[in-house]
Amino acid sequence: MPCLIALVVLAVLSIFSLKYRILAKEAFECVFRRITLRPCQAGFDQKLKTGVSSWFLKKNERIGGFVFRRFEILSWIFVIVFSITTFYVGRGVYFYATYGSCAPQNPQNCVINQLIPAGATSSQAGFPPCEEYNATPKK
Amino acid sequence: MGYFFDINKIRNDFPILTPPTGGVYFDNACATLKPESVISAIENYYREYPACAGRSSHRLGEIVDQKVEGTRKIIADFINAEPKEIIFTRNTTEGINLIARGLEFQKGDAILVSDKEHNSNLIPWQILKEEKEIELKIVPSKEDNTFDIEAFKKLIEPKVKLVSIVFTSNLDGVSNPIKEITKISHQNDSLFLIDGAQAIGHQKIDVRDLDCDFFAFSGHKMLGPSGMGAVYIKKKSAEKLRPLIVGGGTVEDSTYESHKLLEAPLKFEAGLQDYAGIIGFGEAVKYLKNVGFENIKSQEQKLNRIISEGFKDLPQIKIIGPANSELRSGIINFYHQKMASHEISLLLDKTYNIMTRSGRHCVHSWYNSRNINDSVRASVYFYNTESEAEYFVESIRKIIKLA
Repeated sequence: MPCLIALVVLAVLSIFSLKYRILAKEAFECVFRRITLRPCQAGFDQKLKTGVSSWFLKKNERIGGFVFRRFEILSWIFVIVFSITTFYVGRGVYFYATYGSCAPQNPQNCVINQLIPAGATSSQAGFPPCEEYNATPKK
Repeated sequence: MGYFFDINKIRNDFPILTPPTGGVYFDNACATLKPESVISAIENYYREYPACAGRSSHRLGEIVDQKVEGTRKIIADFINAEPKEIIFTRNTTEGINLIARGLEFQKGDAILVSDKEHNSNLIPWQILKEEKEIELKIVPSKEDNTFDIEAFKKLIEPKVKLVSIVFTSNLDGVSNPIKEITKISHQNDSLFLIDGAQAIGHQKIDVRDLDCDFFAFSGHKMLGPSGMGAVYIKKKSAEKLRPLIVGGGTVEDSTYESHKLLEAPLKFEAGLQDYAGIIGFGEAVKYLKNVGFENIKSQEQKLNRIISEGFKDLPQIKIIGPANSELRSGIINFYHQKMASHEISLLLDKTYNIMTRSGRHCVHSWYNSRNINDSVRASVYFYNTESEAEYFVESIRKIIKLA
């Protein structure tokens, strides 16, 4: 499971740096092997586990020890939290693009609506206006 | 020769050990660190005389020629051989392959190796077994992982044409009774090859006294540059041996139809060589001679004792090899019953700045036969200190608490 988290994080970072691209490739191979029920090659999961635990161990041995021992469970929690967050963010973006609010039922609960002044178009918020999706491509 | 063993003075000779770099380097069985004199010698070659040896008669060529042949003599003297018996290679592996490919084996011949051989002294023979239908016989070790001379005597027979045994094992640091093995091998008319990679930088080697036919070793395990090694080939054995690679620098003359090979060592050194590496290798040998093998051995044993005794009250830690640390030179190879070796090694590095090696250390066959997954190998050298050894034990104690 740590490989999956690493893959997502490293995939984003790899847009900016070759160093992370190499690590992302390693993470992808690890995820692929785990999906096909094989152990990670080159100990990528172990590198990740020891890398994270080591950071905590240097700060506090008890916390570091806890992270090391519970790394798999903590990774699962992260994956679940990450999945839920991704779902809600995706849904909010969809609603905002479609209805002009990320929470159409209760617009006052939409943080984007509070940040962007009333009457501003969605393109001013960084999203193209809905009409543009249906516009005929210019020749 | 050897000078007073002043560890601080010695450590100052190694740029990587001087602050602010550093850390605890316990991976000396893989490659040792390089002293300033070796680094400077390599740099001087590229700065002052970056030319060819043995080909060009201009002044730079002459300097390189003298330096390379000078190094050949330094290395020959170091192991009590003749300069013509020293062939430069990239490493021990290449040296062993040179012998494996150069000797003529017939169908039905046998080769004898121990059950603790590095892949470099196992795979070449396995390939010959497939290609030439020779037999590969394995001498089992005793229960404490030391060499079983009685088992060896039982296995040696007239069809054994070559005995190829490791001097000091990279698995547990145990040195085999090489003189006795040579004697028995020669009584059987078998040639004798020594894998000397882990022995040469740690004890005095005298190939005349050992009476071996071949002795392969690496420079990078004895303070020399990476990817530099040599193989000793006894003069009379060199005549029977075909070169592994041929081409420039190996022939006296050639026509479109034929060629005449030069004599050893040149017939084995095809193409342009790593002159900077060779010259650096010579400097490494000079440095080692100055430190002295008595000092090296005593420092390694002292450090191994500190670590081995520090592990005594840790029942989860199993040391590979005999319990007596004096038999294991500078190697402490261990595994934990619950924790993965890679994790221990990574934590040592990332949390405590201690560099070790984890895995199967190129002796997969031994691990597979014992059903042991892998291990962590700490290998010390004379520039490591007692406080580093104590710190290592403390760090291991903290790490295994995480299990």
